[in-house]
Amino acid sequence: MSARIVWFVAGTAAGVYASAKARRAAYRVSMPGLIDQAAALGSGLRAFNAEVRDGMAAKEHQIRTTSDLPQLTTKDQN
Amino acid sequence: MVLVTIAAILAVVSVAAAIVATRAVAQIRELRQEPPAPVLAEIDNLPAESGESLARPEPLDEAEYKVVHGRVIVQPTGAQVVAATMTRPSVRVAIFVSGVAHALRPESRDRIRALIRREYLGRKRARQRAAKAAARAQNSPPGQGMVRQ
Repeated sequence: MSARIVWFVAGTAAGVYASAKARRAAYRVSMPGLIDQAAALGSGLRAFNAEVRDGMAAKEHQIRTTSDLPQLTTKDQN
Repeated sequence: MVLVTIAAILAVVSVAAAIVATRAVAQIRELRQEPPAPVLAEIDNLPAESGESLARPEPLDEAEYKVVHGRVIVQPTGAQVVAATMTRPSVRVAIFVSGVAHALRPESRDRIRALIRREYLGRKRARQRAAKAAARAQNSPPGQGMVRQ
């Protein structure tokens, strides 16, 4: 009797898990899901671009400060 | 999702590297095609009737220039030295690679990945909420202000 209950619970859990996974996968390949993924990817690319620019600015500042380049005056920078 | 993100990031990096390399090649070609600057002696020896009147440059302080093998070499300003150094292709590539490495650090990578995931889930939930609201409006019983269609 207890073995039947165990099998029933296991089957129910597997069914719930599989249906949730299938629903997510179906949404992911549907047109709204693809649009959402593209929009999220765009946000990620913008964030990545901002990170790259931050890193480039930091490296540029490091090169300017650690090398023997002359210090710019306000007249030079204009 | 993760594989698509990584592939997209790699594609962006490779396109950016190609753009930097193309610009560097174009700059090298332009530099090779520039004619050499005329020497002061050549300007002085130009015949007056040649029709070409080259303006003699403004006199400089002795500290600002020196003559090497008959050519006047003007001391570059600090800004020119900095610009020439910072725009060298190797320096630009090093700066760009450092920026990409900065963006691919574990903390930045995880932050961007979480941002993508949050954005996707937020849009999905908003879409599901809108769908549920639309379904509720369509299936609401009469007498609650909603119109059954």
